[in-house]
Amino acid sequence: MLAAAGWATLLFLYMPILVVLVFSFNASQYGARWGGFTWEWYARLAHNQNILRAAWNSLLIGVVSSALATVLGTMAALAVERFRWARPELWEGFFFIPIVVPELMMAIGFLLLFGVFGFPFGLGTLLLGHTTLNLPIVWLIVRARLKKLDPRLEEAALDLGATPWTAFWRVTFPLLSPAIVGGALTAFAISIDDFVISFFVAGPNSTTLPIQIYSMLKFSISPEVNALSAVLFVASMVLVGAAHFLQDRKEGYVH
Amino acid sequence: MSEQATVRMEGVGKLFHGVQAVEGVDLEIRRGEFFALLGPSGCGKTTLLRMVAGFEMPDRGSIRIGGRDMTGVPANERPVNMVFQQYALFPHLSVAENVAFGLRVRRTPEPELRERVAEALASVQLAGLAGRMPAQLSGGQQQRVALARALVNRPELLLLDEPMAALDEKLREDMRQELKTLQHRVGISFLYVTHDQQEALELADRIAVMERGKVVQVGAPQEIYEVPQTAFVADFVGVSNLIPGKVVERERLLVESAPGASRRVVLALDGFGRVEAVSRSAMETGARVTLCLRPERIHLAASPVEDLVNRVLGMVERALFLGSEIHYHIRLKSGTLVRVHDSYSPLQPARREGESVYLQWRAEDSTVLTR
Repeated sequence: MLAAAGWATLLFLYMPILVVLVFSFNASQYGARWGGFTWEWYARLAHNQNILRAAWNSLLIGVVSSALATVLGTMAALAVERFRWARPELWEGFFFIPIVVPELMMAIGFLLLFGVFGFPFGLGTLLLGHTTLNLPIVWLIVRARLKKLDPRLEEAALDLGATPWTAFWRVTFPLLSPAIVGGALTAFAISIDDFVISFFVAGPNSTTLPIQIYSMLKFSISPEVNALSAVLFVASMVLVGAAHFLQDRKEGYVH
Repeated sequence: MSEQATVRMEGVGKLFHGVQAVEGVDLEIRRGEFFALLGPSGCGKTTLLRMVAGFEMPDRGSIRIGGRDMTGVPANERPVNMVFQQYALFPHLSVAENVAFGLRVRRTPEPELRERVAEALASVQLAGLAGRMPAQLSGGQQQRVALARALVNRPELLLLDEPMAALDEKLREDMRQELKTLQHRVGISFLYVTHDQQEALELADRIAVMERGKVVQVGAPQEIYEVPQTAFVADFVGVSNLIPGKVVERERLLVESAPGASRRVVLALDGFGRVEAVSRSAMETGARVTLCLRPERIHLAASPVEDLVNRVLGMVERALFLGSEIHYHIRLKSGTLVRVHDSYSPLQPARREGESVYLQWRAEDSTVLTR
């Protein structure tokens, strides 16, 4: 009984994804009728200039924003740990709130902010928006790992003659690296998938893939959109899977 | 500064969140000495150790290592190395790389580095495990790696923070022997922090007993055990019967053979009556004192023995058989409970519970405590 409920829930969760995946191979262009298997829509994707430009933008924003968020988020996590500020749970709260704040609110906030400062909408605003979106996520992942790290390891390095700088790079950083890489990959996946903030802060020449899909949908649900969604889905899954793998591996290191 | 001292602490104090964690500590650790800091948890011994290591800075006083003032010198520039509680081995580095860490950060040439790492691993019987990761080692092996990792740097002083705490009882005994042997071989001064009095008595050349941030007594293990200076030391190191009372008669006789000016005093002890004891310091009649009487110094007999001046009658309330020893709880007529440890031999039957016995001891068998 419980097993059946479990399977039903899984089916419910994955049905929409399955439908998109299946229909991306549907030879029939219209409606919900199955017209045989085809790769055609995937082939068309590769020749659609708008889609290719959007893909490039998404990739660029994803890589740069996740890299920025990773550096800043890691530094912030280290700072909270290192300086043993009073009430670390307060800092945890500050970094956690942006994750649960309605994204729409963040998006409107960005729109107003950039408007007020006369910031031209485009890749720059997208980059700022995505970095802000990603930073708390990286912070959370790196901080979780850091909390489990034995502070005596760094002391041991100092005791053995290492400067604080060397102790960080030889001991703390290697032990944190799975979390840092995992955080970066998660940030990249979130950035690639993001629609709300992108929709509000993108300029006319900085369309990203999710916005492109949305604008294509305005006309009709074309199988090309299905194919594009499927590509995004697989890419995200690979990234998230890699992030999890990296965080789980070497877990034995932590005391 | 004498050449004999590896460490000299003068008036060292440290305040932690408004609490005096360490207060007015004066200590000298001699060259090649195995020195133990002994005390219950929270007595400040670990804080003192961390100040020597350079992880904490004293608020007051100074610490000199090898004649050099360590004020303002960071941990990585001090000629000391530490064996951490739980060892703190680098989990991402092999055994050999853990041991090589200190040499690498000091840019030791590769051939010398390899030679010294191999030598250090051999000295702790780990030559075959150089390629293993710390997680693949047993607790005892991890401890050896921690020792090798510290000693390979040839420090002037090795700091050990409760290194046996993570090991089980049997292994602890073996490691104690090995540690002592190792210390003799390398000839480096050891500063060993422990709450285990047995460990301190067995290993140390000298012990400093700490209580609430202060050093209450420093001395060789036998001295600490035989002549405790405060009731706390008598109670913390070994087992004691601590009996309150007062001085009724003093300096009846000078014992010339005993070291120092020992005086014979007569005390009136609560629940015991008049007892003869030996005191090393001058005492006023009527002064409140505590007599420390070690359980193994009390002789049990069914009838009085002539040359044992102190004698009190009691009843065996409980007899605990411990293999080589029997521990008795003996209740005096006054209601006072006395602990007596007797060696066990099958030739001499144990006292039965409910049996009446004489508790007897010489004046020299006890210590008079004024604090």
